[in-house]
Amino acid sequence: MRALTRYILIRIGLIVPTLLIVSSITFILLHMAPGNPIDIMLGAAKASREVRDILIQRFGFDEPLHIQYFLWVYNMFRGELGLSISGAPVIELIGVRLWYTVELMLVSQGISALIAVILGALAGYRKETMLDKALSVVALVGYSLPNFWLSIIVILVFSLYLGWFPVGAFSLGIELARERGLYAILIHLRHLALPTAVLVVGFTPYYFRLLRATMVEVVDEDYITMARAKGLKEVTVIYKHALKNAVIPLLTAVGTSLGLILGGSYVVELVFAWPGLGHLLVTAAIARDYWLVMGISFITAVMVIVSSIALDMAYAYFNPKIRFAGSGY
Amino acid sequence: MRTSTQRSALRVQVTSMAQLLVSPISYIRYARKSKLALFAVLWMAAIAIMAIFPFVIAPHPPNRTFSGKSNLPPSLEFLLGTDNVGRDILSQVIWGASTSLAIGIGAAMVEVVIGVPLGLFAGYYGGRLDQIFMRIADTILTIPTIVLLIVAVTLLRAQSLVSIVIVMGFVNWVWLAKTLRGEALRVREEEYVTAAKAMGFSDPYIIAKHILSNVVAPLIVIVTFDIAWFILYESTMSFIGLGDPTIPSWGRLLFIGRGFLNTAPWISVIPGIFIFLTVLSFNILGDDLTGFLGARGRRV
Repeated sequence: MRALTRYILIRIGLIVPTLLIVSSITFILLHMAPGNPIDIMLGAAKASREVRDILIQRFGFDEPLHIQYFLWVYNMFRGELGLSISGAPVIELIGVRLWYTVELMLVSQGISALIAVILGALAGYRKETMLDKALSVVALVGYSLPNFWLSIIVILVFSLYLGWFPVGAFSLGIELARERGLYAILIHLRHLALPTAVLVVGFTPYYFRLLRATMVEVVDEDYITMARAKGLKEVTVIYKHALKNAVIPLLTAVGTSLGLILGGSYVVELVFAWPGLGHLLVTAAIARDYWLVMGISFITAVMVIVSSIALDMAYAYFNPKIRFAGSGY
Repeated sequence: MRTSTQRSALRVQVTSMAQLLVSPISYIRYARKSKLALFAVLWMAAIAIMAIFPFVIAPHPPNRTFSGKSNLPPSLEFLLGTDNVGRDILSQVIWGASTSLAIGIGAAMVEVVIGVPLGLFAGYYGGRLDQIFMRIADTILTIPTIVLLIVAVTLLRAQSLVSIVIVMGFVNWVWLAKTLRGEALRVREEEYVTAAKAMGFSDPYIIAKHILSNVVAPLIVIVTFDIAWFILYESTMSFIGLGDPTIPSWGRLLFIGRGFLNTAPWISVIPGIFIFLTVLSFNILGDDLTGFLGARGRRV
């Protein structure tokens, strides 16, 4: 258990350096870019030199680059992420959107993991049967569907032709502000349904394939034969004995691909106009809204790191014998 | 049907890189036994022909506009319809094949150039170098891929194919390097590596000669899956509006079609089918090669 504690402590200790590296990469990229936010903001309007200078000063763009970066880091530790070019504090803009992204993520990942665990364990347990082969083909198809294209098809069929769901979540905020109680929740769910469904189609096969692959190996283990020999019900053997061990690689896989998962949901957010961080990021990047882009990448990285540490702890919980020290991981 | 002994003989026959390169025919012989793999090989052959000879197959130049014929549904004149400015969709799809393949293969080359040496050196030497490598790799993995892509492509005004290829290869090398590192860690304990060391061969020589040839199987499988991923991501970028607007590509059509979902849904539906089937084929191929090359896993 001591090795584990040490490992978790190291991971936590590495949070700050990792975040510094991530933020400096974004910062360098931002400033390698031609064009600055002030010019884009002023656009065609012929602003006088004074106005321009005042704006540049207000956003801190007059300082040398390294000073700008250090100021950003200093403010970050005080919980400030600078000003967006719209004049609003970045932290507030993100605060409004963050919940939407987290909500979409949690709901879609939860459903995906649940379906994948049930079907993946079953397919792996009954390997090489018709059921397994059919499920694997379905998974391969779902895995290869471009999620933005699927979003379009889903909007086309369920929103435009059938009219069951709203086309996008453009009006979600306004509608929610108007309604209260149960009806507000219903509106929310109605907007949530399609983007969630698309993400579930994309992520379930990924988890399914991982789980099936480990399950295939686990079922040949002696303790499974033993459990069967004891005359336990098959459901118990699959979902209690075998699954416990097959779930571990799933956790690591989710941990290392969180960045990818979050990225995937950003694109879907964009198509459905879901008012989350992905949507905000693309608009901010196009407007060269430096501090807003920095803030979003930073918050995204924080989410990824924190959840991957949480997953590591879960991993340790499921398999306390894992050697953390010395393996290089 | 081939018997299992014959099958394993076939597998042994092609596990080295040289043999694999000279005899893709033996793979096709293997693929024939699975309907899925056969479909993938045929579809990829079709896409390859479209990509190499678009000027022969395509009925029109991809960017030629027909005035007064915008947003036409599929018909005999325009088999897959036309887009918002009256360009033939079939021709754009055919020319788009070369864009997608070039991007997929190009980005794979970038990732191989960066990822293979780093992964192999880290795995072969181990110790401190390896620790540092793993920390850097973990840090890069925390940066959400799409965020990095969006930031890099918009901010560098890098809406050209070359920069998208480089950025994607650069974002993805970590995954490749991490897997190869694991393989190299395993291979370096083999006796022939110890023997080569004892005979006084230099480390770079041993890595290039012995380690590399032993990680070729996983390398081919990973690269196959990654090409699918790159094709998908390039079209995602184009779809968001971050692609190169002058070059015909599947993603560009999808981007255009997004504005005409109500009136001309075929503009976005058709290129999506091509993206989907191509990505599916690469994924099937990746699965099938895993079985064929005797790596872990099995064919679907």
